[in-house]
This record gives sequence, structure tokens and C-alpha cells, in this order.
Amino acid sequence: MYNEKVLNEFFNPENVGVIKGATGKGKVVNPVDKEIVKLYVVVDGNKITEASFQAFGCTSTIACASVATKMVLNKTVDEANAITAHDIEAELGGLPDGKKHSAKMAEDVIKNMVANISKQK
Amino acid sequence: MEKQKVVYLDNAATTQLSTEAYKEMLEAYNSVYGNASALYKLGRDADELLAKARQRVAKAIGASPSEIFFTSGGTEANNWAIKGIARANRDKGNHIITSVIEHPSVLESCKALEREGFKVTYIPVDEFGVIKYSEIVKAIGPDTILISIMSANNEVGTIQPIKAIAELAKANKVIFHTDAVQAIGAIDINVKDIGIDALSLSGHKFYGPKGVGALYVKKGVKIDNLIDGGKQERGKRAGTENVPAIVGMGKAIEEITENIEENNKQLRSIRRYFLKQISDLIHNISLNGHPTQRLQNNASVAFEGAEGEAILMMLDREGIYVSTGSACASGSLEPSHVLLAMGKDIETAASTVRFTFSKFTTKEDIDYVVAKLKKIVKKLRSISAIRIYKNKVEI
Repeated sequence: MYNEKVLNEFFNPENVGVIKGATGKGKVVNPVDKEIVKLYVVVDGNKITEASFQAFGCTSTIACASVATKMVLNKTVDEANAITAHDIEAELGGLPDGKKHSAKMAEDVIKNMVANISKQK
Repeated sequence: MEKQKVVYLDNAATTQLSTEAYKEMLEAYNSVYGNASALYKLGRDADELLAKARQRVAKAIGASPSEIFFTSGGTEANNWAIKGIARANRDKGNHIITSVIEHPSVLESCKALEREGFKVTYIPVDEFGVIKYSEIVKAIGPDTILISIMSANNEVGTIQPIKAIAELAKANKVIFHTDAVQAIGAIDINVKDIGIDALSLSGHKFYGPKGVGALYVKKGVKIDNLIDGGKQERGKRAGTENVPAIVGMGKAIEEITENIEENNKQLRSIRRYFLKQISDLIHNISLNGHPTQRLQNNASVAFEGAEGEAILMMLDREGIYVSTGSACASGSLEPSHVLLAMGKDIETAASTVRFTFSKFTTKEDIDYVVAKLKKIVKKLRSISAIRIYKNKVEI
């Protein structure tokens, strides 16, 4: 069902936890099964220099959130905002049918984080 | 490389084949390969094996052999019972009563009948997963022809008051069917004593082979044919019989029903040991299902802040096999319909793992599982967006 890349990311997630003093935060809740993904970033100048996540979710949701924290690093906020579920899924070599929502949640949490930063300005 | 320890705790999904059943199946495969409908000896021998298996299944549930029809499994038996009885008795009415926590093979059969114009009432359950008897009383009307209520639930293990429901059905001249797929071998079921008109069972849930089951239909109960063709299964379910599988199921049901008490004693002890261990070592957990009116092989546990599938995958890496809710529901994002019907919130349903033990499960297995489980739940809670403190949750 899950490919090796997804499983590896799930068993060894990176950038887990809260960043104290984060300059940007995002949160999404899946209304169907109440999975939650939170994203924390530090924006220095125009670039994202630190990113972390917390997730209450299934294997692929944890894997997608973990990979998303790596994908936003060293990107501008606008570049991060352009990352799609498709990009996140591609980074993991594909997700099983019925698990595509995990990549969408990771996309949405980035967009929520960007929207929150924009509101602060 | 050292062989990884394997602990199989998904026995409500399927069980390991009994050695004795396997031996009888091998004999049937190798020596009695004739078509059971053939006139010559090799065919008659196969037919004899079928008769012996039918006798064993009948004896296990207190039925007559002529009331047992072999099927491809529990799903087929449920489909046949519900659709076959409803359609054959349509002249008497078009109303069916079932419950919200039935197996998908029952619920989907009822939905199919609704598309044909039948009316179906879905009875709710209480917080322990017990069907509300008073709601059945209220639902019965002059058009009611069939009540189908499971003997025990597959997800949380709650045993249903089927004797009372059977009596109610009889008093109202309504046919009573029970899906006993999880209950056979776990509770003593005698169809005559209880007053059951139709009962579904499945071989691989009690250490028999997969792909075989049976439907008991009480003499005199009208039911449409399932498959038209030859004269197999008295013309009601045509097609050459899978003799070795039927033989294996016959042996398995004989073994399990002869040892119900002994098996339950062992399972109760394993279950208690497991619950004591996880309660001592892991905080913020809760149990689903009825505390006493229950199958002894089932422990449905919610681990706050850790998602069920994630726990399953981490246990899998340690050679431990469990399930989230029901395997039939996996692959879907929707939380378990059974847990939601019991009033559990979505987060609890999403955090639930089902452990189902077998006669092969040992205390050493449990020690291994609990040690791994403790680490896994701790790890997932450290990742979780839901903060768990002892007896306190923060989202």
C-alpha cells in the first residue's frame, strides 16, 4: 500500500515539534476524521529559515507534514505558497488511493501559515 | 538474521487454520477429488464428506443437517439471508428491521433492498454498543417481515440480546436472522433454544479455511434461491461444492464448539492481563464496548492523541498485527460507523485500535506487544498536534 519513501518519512519524521518564537503558524483540521496538522516557521528577511510540524494523523499525513517542512525551507513565503498537494505527493513518490487527502492537508497548512503571516502585516 | 517475532492479534478479521482441519482438508484434496454429484465411488466419497461436514455444522448450532446451506463465506450468507428472505416474503410485507452497527454485508444488502422499494429501520445502540430493544418493539409493524440483528459485534465485541429479540420476532410472526460470524465458537448458540430462523456463519473466523461459510435456514422459512443451476445445496445454491474447504470448516466448528468454555477461560485471562498491562503503562486510554456482555477475544482501545492507523503501521514493523476498527472499513477515511453510533467522538474513533486474541495468544506475546505499544504511543504523542498530559488533553 504505502511505498518505501512514505514509510521511511513516517518512521523517521524530521522537524517535529514547536518552534518557540515562530514568526509564522498554520493549522488545518480535516473535518471528516479530525486529523490535525500544525506548521511553525521562522521567516528571516524574506526566506523561511526554520520549519517544524505537529500532526495527529495517519501514516501518510505524518509523512506529508514532515516532507512539507523540508520543502518550504529556504523558500520565500510566496514560493512556499505555490507548493501544491501534487508537489508534496511527488516528493514522496506517490500516495495510495484514499490517502491523497494527506498531501492536501500539507498544502493547506502551508497556505494557512502564509495567510496568517499576511494578516499580521 | 534473527527471525522477527510475530504476534497476530487480528483474529476477528481471520484466524490461523486449525491443524486438524488442515489434515482433513489435505485428505479431501488428495484422495477425494471426485465431483460430489457424480454417481461413481469417488463422487459418492466426496458426497459423504459433504454430509459429514453438514452434520458437524448442524450439530454445532443445534440445527438439522437439511437446514444447513454451504456458501462462500459470511458475506454471501448475509446477502442471501437478507435479500432471499425479504424477496420471498414480499407478499406479507416490505419492512425490515436491522441495526446501525451491523457488518457492511448486512447494511449494504439492506440498502440494496431499499432501492427495490423495501423500507428498512436501523435500530440505534447505547454507549456500550448494545442494540436498543425498546426501539425494535416500537419499529415492528404489520408490514415487518424480517429482523436481522448480529449476535456479537465485530468491532467492539458487544454481545446482543438475541434471545429476547428472537422471542419478540416470533410473537409478531416476523422472521429473525442473526449474523453469528463473530459469535460462533465464542458463545453457545442453539438455534432451536434461542428461536433463530436464519443464521450466517463463516469458516475462517473459527480456525477454519477462508472462502467457505454456511447459512442456516429453519425448515419452513421461505427464501429465494441464491444461484440457479444444478441440484447442489438442494437447488438453492447451485455450483460444484468446494469439498475440501467445507470439510475444513466442519472440523473447525466441531473443535471450537466442543471447547467454548475452556477457550473463553483462556481468552478472558489473556484479555484481563492485556488490559491490566496497558492501563498500568499507558495513560489516557479508554475501552470501547460492554464491560461484561462481551466477546472475550476482543479489546477495542482508544489511545488519545495517537491515530489508530499510525499505531497499526508502527506495530506492523515490530511484527505485531492489529486492526483499526474493522478491516472492512480500512482504506476509507470515514471513522468507524460502530464507534460513532455508540456516541464516541471522531477523535476517539480515529485513535482506536482493535486487538483480537486467539487460542494461540500467550502472556509472553502480550508482554512483547505492550512493551512495543508503550514506546509507539509515546512517540506518536510526541509528534501529535494534540497535547496529552496525564488525564488532560489540549488541542
